[in-house]
Amino acid sequence: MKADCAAGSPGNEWIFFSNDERNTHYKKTMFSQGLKGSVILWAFFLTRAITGFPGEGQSIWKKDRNFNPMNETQMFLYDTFPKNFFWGVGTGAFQVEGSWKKDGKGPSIWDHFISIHLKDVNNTDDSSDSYAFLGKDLSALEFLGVSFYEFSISWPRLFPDGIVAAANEKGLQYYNTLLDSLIHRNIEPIVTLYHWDLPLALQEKYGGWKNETIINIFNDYATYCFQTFGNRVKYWITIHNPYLVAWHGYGTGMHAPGEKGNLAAVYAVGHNLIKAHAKVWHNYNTNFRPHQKGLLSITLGSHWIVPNKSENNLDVLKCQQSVTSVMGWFANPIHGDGDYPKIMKDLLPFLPQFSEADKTEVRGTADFFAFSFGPNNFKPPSTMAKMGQNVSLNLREVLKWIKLEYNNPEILITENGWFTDNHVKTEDTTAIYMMKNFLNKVLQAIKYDETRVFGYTAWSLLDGFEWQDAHTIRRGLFYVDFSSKEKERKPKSSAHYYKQIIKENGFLLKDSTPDVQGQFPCDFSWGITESVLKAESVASSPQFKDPHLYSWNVSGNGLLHRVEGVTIKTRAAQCTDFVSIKKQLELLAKMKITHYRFALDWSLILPNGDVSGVNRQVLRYYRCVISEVMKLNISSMVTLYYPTHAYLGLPAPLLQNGGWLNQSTIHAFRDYANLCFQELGDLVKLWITINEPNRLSDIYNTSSNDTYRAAHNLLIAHALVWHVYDSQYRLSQNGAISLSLHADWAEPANPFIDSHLKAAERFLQFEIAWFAEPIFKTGDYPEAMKEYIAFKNKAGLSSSALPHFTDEERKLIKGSADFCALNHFTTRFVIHEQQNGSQYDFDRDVQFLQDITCLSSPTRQAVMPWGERKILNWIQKNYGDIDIYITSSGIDDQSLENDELRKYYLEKYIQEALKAYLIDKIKIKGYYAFKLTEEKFKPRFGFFTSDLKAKSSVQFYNNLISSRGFPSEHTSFGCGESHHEKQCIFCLFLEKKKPLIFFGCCLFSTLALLLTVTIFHKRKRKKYHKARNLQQHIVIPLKKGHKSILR
Amino acid sequence: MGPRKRARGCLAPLLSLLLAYRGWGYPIPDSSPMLLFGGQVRLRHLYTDDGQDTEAHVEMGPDGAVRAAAERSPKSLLELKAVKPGVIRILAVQSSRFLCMRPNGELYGAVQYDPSACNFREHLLGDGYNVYESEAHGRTLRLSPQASLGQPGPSRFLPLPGAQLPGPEPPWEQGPEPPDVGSADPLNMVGGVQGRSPSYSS
Repeated sequence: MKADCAAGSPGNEWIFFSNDERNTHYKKTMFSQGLKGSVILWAFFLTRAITGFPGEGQSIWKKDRNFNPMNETQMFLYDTFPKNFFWGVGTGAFQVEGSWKKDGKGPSIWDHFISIHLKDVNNTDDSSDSYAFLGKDLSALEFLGVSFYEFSISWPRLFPDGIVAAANEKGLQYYNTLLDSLIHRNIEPIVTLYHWDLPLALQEKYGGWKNETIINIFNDYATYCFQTFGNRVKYWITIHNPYLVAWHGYGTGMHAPGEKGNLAAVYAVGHNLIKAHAKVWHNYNTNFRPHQKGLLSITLGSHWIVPNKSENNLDVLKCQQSVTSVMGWFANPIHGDGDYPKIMKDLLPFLPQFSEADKTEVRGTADFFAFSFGPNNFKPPSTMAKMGQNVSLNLREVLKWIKLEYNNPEILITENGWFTDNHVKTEDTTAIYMMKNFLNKVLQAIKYDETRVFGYTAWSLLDGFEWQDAHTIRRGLFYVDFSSKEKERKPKSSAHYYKQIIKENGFLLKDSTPDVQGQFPCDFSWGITESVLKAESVASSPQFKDPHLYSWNVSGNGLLHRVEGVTIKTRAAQCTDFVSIKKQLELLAKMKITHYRFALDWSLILPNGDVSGVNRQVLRYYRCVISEVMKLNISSMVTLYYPTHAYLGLPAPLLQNGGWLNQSTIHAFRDYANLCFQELGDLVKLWITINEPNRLSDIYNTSSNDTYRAAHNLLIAHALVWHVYDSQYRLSQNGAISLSLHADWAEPANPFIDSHLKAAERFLQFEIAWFAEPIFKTGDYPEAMKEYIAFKNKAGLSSSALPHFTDEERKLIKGSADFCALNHFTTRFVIHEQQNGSQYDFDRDVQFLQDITCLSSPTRQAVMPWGERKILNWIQKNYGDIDIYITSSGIDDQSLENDELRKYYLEKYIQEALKAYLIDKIKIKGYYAFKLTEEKFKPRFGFFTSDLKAKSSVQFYNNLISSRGFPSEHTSFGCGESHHEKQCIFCLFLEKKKPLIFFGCCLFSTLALLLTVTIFHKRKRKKYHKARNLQQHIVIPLKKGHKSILR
Repeated sequence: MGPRKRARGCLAPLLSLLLAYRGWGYPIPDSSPMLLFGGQVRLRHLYTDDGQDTEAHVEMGPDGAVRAAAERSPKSLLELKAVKPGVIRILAVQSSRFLCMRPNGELYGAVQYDPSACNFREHLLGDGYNVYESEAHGRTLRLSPQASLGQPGPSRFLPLPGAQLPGPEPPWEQGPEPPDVGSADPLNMVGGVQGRSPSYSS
């Protein structure tokens, strides 16, 4: 569906109401067709010419999009808004007032429109009825603690036929009461004069906004409002989102008056709206401002868009065009140079022209920039000017665009928010996160981009009539049951959330305490985790083991031929025969860790499933790994069984017999473990029986009974193995053994709803306590889990049943672990959602939510370091003061070299572990980073790439390890070893330059020898000459041999 | 007598310098042909034209299906590793599956390495092409012909170096999806995989 929107030719997007399923919703409420031809024509113009003089705002898209997500300006900002920031909430009169015929109110174009086009909407009953329940609105406002309330005046309620004459008394009274009540409560009113409910009479008599006459009529109405209410109103908005009035009212026909297809009319309406606004502004500026001292503006709305490729200038231009053709249409005349944007003038022959006098009249007629950012400007996707680019909800960027395009105006956000489906009542969890996201973007825009946003309007106060969507969606912070008589305003979660933000004037960091300085103890194990090591079943250097000699390609066929009768001496097998071990050692040496966690391959060691066919070669390989690694001063933590999605890791015969559903697997596992202890136990001090048995629920997932049965067998298998070790090997081998559980932390997605709090705890019970409770506490499944499954059974939602442990089994399982091993990666937000079906996942009744404001990885793993400390505390609270190892913790990072995200993750997660150790006094014994290497085409979790290149996190982790955490400047480093290292820098130098020094010695001795020989020769020659000289005087007979030496 | 001696005197330091240079920075490369059968791992695409009209590469799908592909791709990247003299095993890198043969000559990708099905004897032909023969079944590794009936598939392969071939970007490299603005949850917050552990995906 998304591809359909993004990749199609730009022209297609202008065809309204495509067959796109997403839009069937609009089809239901609206009738379609029409305007096609002319709109396609416009699309043609827009797409054809990508010229023009785009404004400053373009630079937003041109920026380097490879920004660092760990840059603090990109991360969620915990900070407060400026002092006296203006917090408000808004409504539109037509959406919430109801009582459309009561007390002399005249019909508006929307009343008429509904009666014709939205026949299923009964607009007398389906309303929040603010006209009747003003007091309830005021209570709702007080609940929130807002500093202003933005509402609109219903023009036909004051003047039933639109023309200013004697105002409708009842209507006038309503607005006077509303204003007085607001002032009384110290809530600033922000009043919109026109929020789309034009008196029907004006439409019928003049053709509505198409007719210039309306400008003066509107000005009269405005004058009346200024005169009557101006003493109490300091902020006026003339028109709410004129773009939608023109575009949907006269273009698509989705809004009243429902005219469509006439582009000339669309731009004529836009033209009149601008002129009407300008006229009212001048009117206010000259006649009222001097004594009323208020400000006046017009609310402009926009979508936002980002280029397909930010390096593509054409795409950037299209984005600029897209926003200019919507927001710039009105903002350019009013906030800019008084004229339409050049792009529009060049492309739209229908566009009316501003005379020079008009430009002067229109230019600068807003005292601040009133901006609306909400779903209406994105609806429906098929009519948006996307120009083949991608829509975006990044409010921060739009604000920056406004700043750049319109000379850094003061901005009041007069509408912002999203919507929920109409079945959502007060539990609007997604709305919280949408608000959190939008508001934090505003805060970032203020703090980092220095935009001058001075107020924010959450939209809306109440559920109400949502224009073309009628009542199929809800946008209120307060829920209203339209069919009820009393129309109670019930605060939704988002109301609670907004109230909290207003109270705190921003976002306070609550889940985390400030970072601490300190170190882990000397015996803390700093590890790295690797999954199953693929053992080389054959040593990689057969040439030393094969005693035969071969000749190659004798007959030209490329074959090896054994030379008979020749045997070569072979040498004994060595660990260096395995090439892959050497590679691992290189990587591990670079890591500078103290512990290496890896897993054995059960199915390789025992291909038959039982001990009948032990693959000694594989065992030897693993033994080699352990012993070679030891030479680097690295101890091994060995996992016996490490299943993955791709590879269950069971020997084939066991797999065929049902795997963990078959009890015989339990005994096979015990025998396998026994063999491993026997063969490797003398070298291994830390054992993990099973990695994440709780996640095997994803594999044995055909029914809940399968899942629970498999878990049952896994628990017994683990316990048996622990007892084997405890009774037979502990004395001699002196190690410790446990199983590692997948232990992500859970937070309630919606902190204001009790069921979410319960769901989060239930998730932990089903995920972790499921295994931890039997082992560390009772020998039986947690009560919470049993009770909830019983409850689900009773409700007829599940027929699941947890297996029973016999007394003997309970005894076996209880206490069958020497420490607690946790694989902790992230924190998850949990929603309570009742589910039906006999599945483990359904039994828990949980649903997950991704907090979009949180830093997350390419696989959407959220970085929430404080969750680690919470899970550690949870374990301590439930299972007492046990030793805890974090046996896996890591994140995927896109970068192959400078993996900033991984470094950030490591630092923060180790910092939280340190807090748990220092502050909470949790006995945390080790941290194992996940993982050593990664595979191609898989999420990038490795410290080393698939080509075994070190990423920069290796060095980063090194530093953390060597300083054992985060020491303050005064902390002593010493654990003995580091002192020793410091002393022997010279030894280190020698060690490093060994070959060079050796060669230097060789060179030196060779030279010395050469020198000696030369000197020796010279001397000989001198002697010889001397002898010759002497010979001339004294005759000495020469020996023959002597001559031959000298030659 | 004189010049000869001088020459010898010069040669020794020169020689030692030369040796020093080699020993210092660059190890003498292993050129032993035996090393081919050692732990050396070769990343290759097995290319064949074998008298057919079409050119093809051995490719393995994520489900283990073995196909002939016209273009080289990450799916056709194979890791050839010697297990004993003259015998190799072939691992498809992307799918992490071993190329194995059924007794009837049919090829498939196995998650687990089974020496009795996945070992191939490598015959080097004079023209640089190789022929692979299943060690256990004695059958030649052939790509099944795509259309032609009864005709045996190509069996002569040229192992083309393949390490540098850039694969297509994994999906998560393409940036976040644009929001679904028609939805109450445009940024796709709710839902997602139930359990999910990085341990299980690697």
